[in-house]
Amino acid sequence: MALELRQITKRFGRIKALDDVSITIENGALVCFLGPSGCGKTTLLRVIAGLERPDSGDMRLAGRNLFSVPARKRNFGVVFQSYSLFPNMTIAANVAYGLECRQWRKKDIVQRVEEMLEMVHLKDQAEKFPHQLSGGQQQRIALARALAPKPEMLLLDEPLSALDAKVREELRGEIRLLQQHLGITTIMVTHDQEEALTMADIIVVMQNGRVMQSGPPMILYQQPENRFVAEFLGRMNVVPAGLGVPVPIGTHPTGGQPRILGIRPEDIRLVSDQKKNGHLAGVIDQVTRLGNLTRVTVRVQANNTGCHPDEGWCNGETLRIVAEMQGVHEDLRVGMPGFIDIPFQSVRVLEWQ
Amino acid sequence: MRSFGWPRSLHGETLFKVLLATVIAVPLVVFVLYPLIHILGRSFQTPEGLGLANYAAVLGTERFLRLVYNSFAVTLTTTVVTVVLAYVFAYAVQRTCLPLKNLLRLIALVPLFAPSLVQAQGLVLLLGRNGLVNRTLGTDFSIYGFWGIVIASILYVFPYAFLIFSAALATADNRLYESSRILGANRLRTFLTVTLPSSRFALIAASFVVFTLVITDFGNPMVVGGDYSVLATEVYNQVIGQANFELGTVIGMVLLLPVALAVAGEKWVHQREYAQISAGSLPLQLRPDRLRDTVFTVYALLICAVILMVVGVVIFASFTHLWPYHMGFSLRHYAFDVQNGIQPLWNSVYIGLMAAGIGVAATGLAAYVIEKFATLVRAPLSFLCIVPAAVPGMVLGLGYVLAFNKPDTPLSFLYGSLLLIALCNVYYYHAQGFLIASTSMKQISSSFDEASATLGASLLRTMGKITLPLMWPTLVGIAVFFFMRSMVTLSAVIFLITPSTQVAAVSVLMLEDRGAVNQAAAFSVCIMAVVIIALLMARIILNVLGFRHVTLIR
Amino acid sequence: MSIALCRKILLHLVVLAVLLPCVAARANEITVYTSYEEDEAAAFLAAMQRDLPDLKVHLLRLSTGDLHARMLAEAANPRHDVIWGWAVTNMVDPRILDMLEPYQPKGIDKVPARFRADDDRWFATTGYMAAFCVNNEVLSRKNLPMPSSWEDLLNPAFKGEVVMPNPASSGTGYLQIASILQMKGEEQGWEYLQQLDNNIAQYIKSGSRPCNSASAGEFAVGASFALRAIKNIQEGYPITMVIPAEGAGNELEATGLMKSSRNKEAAKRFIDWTLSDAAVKEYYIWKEIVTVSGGTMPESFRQAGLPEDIGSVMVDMDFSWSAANRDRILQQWQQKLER
Repeated sequence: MALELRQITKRFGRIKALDDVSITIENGALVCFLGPSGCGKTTLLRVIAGLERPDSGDMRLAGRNLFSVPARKRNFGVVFQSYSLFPNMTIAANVAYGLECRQWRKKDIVQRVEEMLEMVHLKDQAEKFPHQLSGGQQQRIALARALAPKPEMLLLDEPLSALDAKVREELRGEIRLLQQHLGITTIMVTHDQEEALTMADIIVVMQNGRVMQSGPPMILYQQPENRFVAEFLGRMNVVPAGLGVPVPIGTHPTGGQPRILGIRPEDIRLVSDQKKNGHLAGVIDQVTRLGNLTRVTVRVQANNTGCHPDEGWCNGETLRIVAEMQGVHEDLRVGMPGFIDIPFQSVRVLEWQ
Repeated sequence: MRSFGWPRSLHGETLFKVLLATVIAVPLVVFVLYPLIHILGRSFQTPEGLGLANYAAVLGTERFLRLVYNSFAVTLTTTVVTVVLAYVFAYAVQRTCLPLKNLLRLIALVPLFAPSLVQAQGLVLLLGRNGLVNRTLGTDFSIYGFWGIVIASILYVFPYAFLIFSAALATADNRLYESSRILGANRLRTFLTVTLPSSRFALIAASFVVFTLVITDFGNPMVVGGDYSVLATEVYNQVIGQANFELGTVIGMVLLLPVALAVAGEKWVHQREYAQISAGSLPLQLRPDRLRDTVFTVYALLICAVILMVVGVVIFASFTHLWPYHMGFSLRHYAFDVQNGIQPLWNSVYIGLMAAGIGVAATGLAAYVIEKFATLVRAPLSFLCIVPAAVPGMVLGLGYVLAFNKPDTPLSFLYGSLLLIALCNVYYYHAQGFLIASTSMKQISSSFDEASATLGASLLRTMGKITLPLMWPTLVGIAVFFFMRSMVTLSAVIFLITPSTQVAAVSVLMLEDRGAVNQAAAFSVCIMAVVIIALLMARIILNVLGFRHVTLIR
Repeated sequence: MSIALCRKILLHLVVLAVLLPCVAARANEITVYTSYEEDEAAAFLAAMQRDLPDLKVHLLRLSTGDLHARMLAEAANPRHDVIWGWAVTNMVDPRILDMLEPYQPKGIDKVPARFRADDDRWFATTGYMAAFCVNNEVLSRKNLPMPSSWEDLLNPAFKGEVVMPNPASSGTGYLQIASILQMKGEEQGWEYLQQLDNNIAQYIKSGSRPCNSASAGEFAVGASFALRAIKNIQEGYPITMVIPAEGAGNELEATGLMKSSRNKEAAKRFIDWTLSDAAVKEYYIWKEIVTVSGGTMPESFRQAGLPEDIGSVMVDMDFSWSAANRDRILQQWQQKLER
């Protein structure tokens, strides 16, 4: 039952919205397409939904060719960013719409609508019109409407972006529960890394119409393959190789000389004196205290590096390295010297992207 | 807006779309381009074969130059005066605390309810050599000629300009006005730096619209122009009076030029008009200001008084025994002794209803196809839809005669039918109807269509269950628009009437032309009554169904 | 399919169903083009309907010149079956004659030979003559003398007070000019028209409107035709009918059958009727000139100022000259006088 996309390409005029995208989506998984706006994630979702026709490529669901199946025959449930509840119909009629299209019997429709409204806890709102509901309620109805016809797959296009933070968090959990309960393969588009990290089985990180990396959230977080993924998911210090930062041997993904290294701020330790050679020396530039977490920015003079003109670093330039430490650390002050200790097992070698 | 079609495999839906696109394109070609081509062809047709002789015969004459001069003098004067008057009026209605706003607004729109020449009728009754003013004051001035046409035209186009300005001034960002006030700008300065620049597009658009309406209007010049001839009356005279189709078509082509330029200019401006109101805008807060409000109230009342007086005197004259000698009440002018009596009024009503039905279907469908399907023909199609805006009514009507009054052509059966007149009205006003429809279509998010499609609905179901129910208040508005215009339009249909297809507005012209002033007035009153009744009915229906916000008068 | 859509389609079907019968020609219907005045034509038709109740006549009424234009424009596909009551001067245009079919209606003998075509393509039963409508109220208010002739209208006091029909579109207008040119000779005639032009306020497209304008008091004098003056006096307008002392120009109104008629039987019945006694009776009620005997002038005509023997005030018009020179004269008029 897997959904397979092979070499999907889609252009809008001169812009390549999707550039040779190949992914496989396993049955029952919740997959997040994650990336900044304009990265092609929504286009990819629309291609899967059948709302956009790719210029080339291959698309199969459980081996069945999807390419020339129109949206209305794909039997995918889609929830749009703006909910798109039909304003001229009641909540019940909205939920029943897809069932009527499939020519269900009246009795079955009534029963299914009731069932779906119960599922999203809005049974008492059946006869209201969409504009009488709150944003969160509308989103639930949109979900119920999409799920009512028992679709093979659920596609969510930034479903939570229009809601306020509290409702958003609530719905995250609800959607995830529902998805797991129904066991329905789900694709969700989002630009919110936190959303992706908390909800997804698999995250597909995209940029400029290409898939940068895909995999389970923790793998992506811990082993980003490239600078983009590293910086998009959480915070990452990116430094040129040859700065004196220790490099784990044999970890370079493509072999050859490593050129950029990434270190998560929480992996960096700040020490008060330079004991080892591996320590970088610098000056504390900024100290931000976020409750029990202290974020320190250290300015490091990169004087002992070679030149990497194509990467924009050269001898004598200043690097800023961010460290995050538990605790308040009241002793740290701006202007104090800071020595950075980087455990070599936490250094990731990144592809230049 | 995006395609959800799959042309790679030719299944039912694609066929359906191709069919729809054809259904809107073919009539546009047949009822707009085909007649225009006939006009163009006829203008080159001379006894010695094709040539420029007709153009040479017209363009070089001193008389023609005078006509061009007259037309432009009248049109430009009218445009400047109308734009200023209507802007100030719209400002009064939208930006000051005026009492009775809705009533004043409605009065300003009254001229839309009657054939254009009703203004001229009223002017003659009021300001004619033997009009009320001259009779009461014992003066002896004459309204006939340049100023007569200009005043009548101003009254005629005032509501069109007012509608544009009113829409432009209705919305504004209060933050701009507050910053201006905080920065210490006085009222005049605020007006010059904030209000005026933000309505400059409306100013240009209104100028073009007014220009087009005036330069192609012949109802008013015919009645109040005396011997002051303009291009529009000349086309009428050349064709109807002198059997001179060739010269008529040449002047028609000449008329097409400035109008086409004006329309193109308007579109160009329109494209450059981006939303000035952003999501963060705050609606304008009107603060009472006694001096300002008094001044604008007086101004608005004056304008309304003039409009009401001109229309009112026509209504009054229709009920007098023998204007201006025996002012006693009489209904005798309502016993029309024109051919077919009151029948033309019912013809007009019938034509109006047909035009409303066909117009709604044609423009609604056109907007649907153009807004909802991304097809290759989208750009040429939407161009076709607005081409009629650049065609003066009488030029289109003339084209219809030339194109459809040919026994050997398949559509000749249309000639002499009410249907052809209805079609002529539909395609003459196609651009406006289409723009109303497509604006409203744009406001219906394309995600509704997509949601419907992903839920398994066919195009037809989406259209019937989603698009139409969301659109129908607008469609009622478009129907009213076509009905109203069909009731009052003169220029497009003047060449198309036959004994059995006389229409009301032409009856007024004929009565006025033969000098039966009271009967002409009575006929105008009947037209106004029908239009107002239709408007009221539509308004009541919409209000009962809860659609109070739908604009009916356009 | 939705109910709304069904409704819409149904509506269009209904519209079509109503329309189709209008498009198809029906056996007892004919279309008639005329330049009779609206009120005359309406009265004649009412009388006809009494005699031929089964015949349905669609009537198009246009000014003489306008009708001429229309018929030429439609020449490829004429819409009408009969030309009725239209100026002889225009009827004898070869392009029009070509469209007509020779026909001898019942009772054609009643029409004197000089009032019909040698080849039976047309015959004239009625006619009209030029007259001025002079507004008494305006005259006394502005202290103007009552004019009695064309010559009197040259009086500078009448500057801007005279309106006259445009001969290019109005049959009345053309007969006035043709009569002046015939009476005075072309050279002097044009000279007179040039002088008159100084006093003319407007040249009006219609032949009756100058009288109506004068009746409404917009101008003192409207050069028009006699019947309009008589009718307006009956209406109660404060005007006097003046028949120009030089003689009144006049025009005959002719009738003919179209070759292209798709319903000739009905058309012939209609034409036959125009020579029936009932028709002639109507002519005598409405027209100052009737070529067929069988009635007398109504009292009201005499009261309005029409002499018993109208032959005595009429110019002896040379219609063939008027017809042959029409294009030339109109062209000259447009060059010299059109505004």
